[in-house]
Amino acid sequence: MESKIESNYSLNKKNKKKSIILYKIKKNPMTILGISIIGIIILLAILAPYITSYDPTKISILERFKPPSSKHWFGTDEVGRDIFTRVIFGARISLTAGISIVVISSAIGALIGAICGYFGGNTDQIIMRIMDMILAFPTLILAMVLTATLGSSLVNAMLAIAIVKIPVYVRLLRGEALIVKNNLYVKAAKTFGLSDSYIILRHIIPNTITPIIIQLTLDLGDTILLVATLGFLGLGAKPPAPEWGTMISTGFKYMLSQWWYPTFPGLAVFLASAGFNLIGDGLRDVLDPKSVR
Amino acid sequence: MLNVEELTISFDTFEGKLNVLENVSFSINEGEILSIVGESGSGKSVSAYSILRLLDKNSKVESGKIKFYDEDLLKITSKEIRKYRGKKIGMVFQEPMTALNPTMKVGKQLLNVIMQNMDLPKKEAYTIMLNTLKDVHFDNPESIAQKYPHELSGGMRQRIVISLAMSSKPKLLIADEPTTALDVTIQAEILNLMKELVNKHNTSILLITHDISVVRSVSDKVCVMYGGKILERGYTDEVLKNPKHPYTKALLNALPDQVDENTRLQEIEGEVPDLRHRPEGCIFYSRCLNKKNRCSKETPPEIRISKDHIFYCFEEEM
Repeated sequence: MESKIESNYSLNKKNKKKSIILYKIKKNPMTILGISIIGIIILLAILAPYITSYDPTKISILERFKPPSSKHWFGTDEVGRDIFTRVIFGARISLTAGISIVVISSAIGALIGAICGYFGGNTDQIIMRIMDMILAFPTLILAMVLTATLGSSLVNAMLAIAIVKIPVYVRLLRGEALIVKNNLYVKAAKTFGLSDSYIILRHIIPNTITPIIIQLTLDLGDTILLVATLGFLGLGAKPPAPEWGTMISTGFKYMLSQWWYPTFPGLAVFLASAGFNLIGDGLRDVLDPKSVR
Repeated sequence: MLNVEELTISFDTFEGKLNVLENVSFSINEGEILSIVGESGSGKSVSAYSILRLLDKNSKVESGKIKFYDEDLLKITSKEIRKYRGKKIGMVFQEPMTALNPTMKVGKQLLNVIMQNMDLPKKEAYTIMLNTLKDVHFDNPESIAQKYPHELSGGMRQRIVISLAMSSKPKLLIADEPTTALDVTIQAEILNLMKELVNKHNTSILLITHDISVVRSVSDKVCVMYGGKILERGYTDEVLKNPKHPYTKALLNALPDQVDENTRLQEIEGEVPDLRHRPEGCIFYSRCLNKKNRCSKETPPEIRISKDHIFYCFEEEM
């Protein structure tokens, strides 16, 4: 009897849980739009070699500066490479770069932030002042300086952006940890004899995961934009790599005569970062009901 | 087994230092239940937390000892105190609703505590976990272990917390108002469960409560606290049958079952004294019904009625 009620109960609850998240997402058409954009970009990136028969780096000088046509959807560039091919191969670079940057910086930032918030005291003060110093610089300028110092390459640009992004997560997590550590279960965990590292990893961080996820999605758009910006400025990926920013940078010269060259990579950057921002906004509405717009 | 001797603890606050505990002494033997009873702000929780050194950073131990067997818990390093937490001394809290991590299944929380405290591989810890859950009257431990805290009721959660605290068979269980947040039927269940555990594992319990009826139904010894001081202590039967201190008497008079339904309940007039301006003399002076002149000037002496029944008052001479 009891077990029957229990199973009914859990069945109901499972259905309910699923439908609430879906329902909330469905209510927000912009989120659906964001998810579709990013979904399409991810699909194109994964299936790139099967979608196009061109090689993203192979030069065929006779085909140079062909306008968009059924043969070359986005036209060709100054050495005859198919721009559509380069854009979807570029999606691979941008997505990997964006995702690895936010994963690295959020992991490091979250850990530092949780430690600061949990222990407090002088360590906290010193680390937070260092973070304030990093935050005092405009993100782009600092990323440029760091890349220039490390030597310009895609990996160094990613590293620089990851470092610049860390303080945001440190601050976020520190604030959340200050709240979470006052919960009884953290004190209780101490009385059960659990270690500080265990408490931080299993009690503090999991209970602060919601704001991290939201920040992470919002930052994905931003980092993709930053990677492209550094590429545009010649500090990121080097030609002939099909990186969006680098392509725009070269194509910029041909803006007036061959409009399609910088336009399509530019659109790709715009769609990718807008898509992630829309998803981030939607996620915030679903996961954090307190911040009603 | 646990001996708290002359413990004085102060909190450093914006308005200066205030002594939240003054010369508090009590002791628990193996297999005994000691209640500390008192109203809000009397220092009963502070004395409980001080045993596991869980007080906030602005607190300071002015004097006294907390002896657990032969070790003074106030003298050891913060690393060493972790060997006591959970393993030798367990703790149960007032709010079972918030004492469990909402993002983790209760079985996993229990399993991790057992694995860390007893240094066991997962498989053996799992068997112990199931037994611990059975100990707190869960008939289907496997399915309970798969639940998140929000899927359980208050009483069930409190039983989980008790099983967490009891998982490594500690010698002492500190229970900080374990039944306050639960309704009366569950209260009895939890109290009986705790009594049962005392008998089964020979664990001692330090029970913090403000409910005299709880004291009466479970505890062997009782300490009556007020304003950071112990006013009367002794065996529960003796103290409740023959209360000596005016405060204990007043507390007992305020119990609903003492009077018939037409009489107004006897409340204790006034309020707890402001510890920032700790009055000289007896701490209960302002609210005492039998106060004399000297009560406000001199500290009342310790009067011993029997070997264990002690109270602090000038009453004998009145």
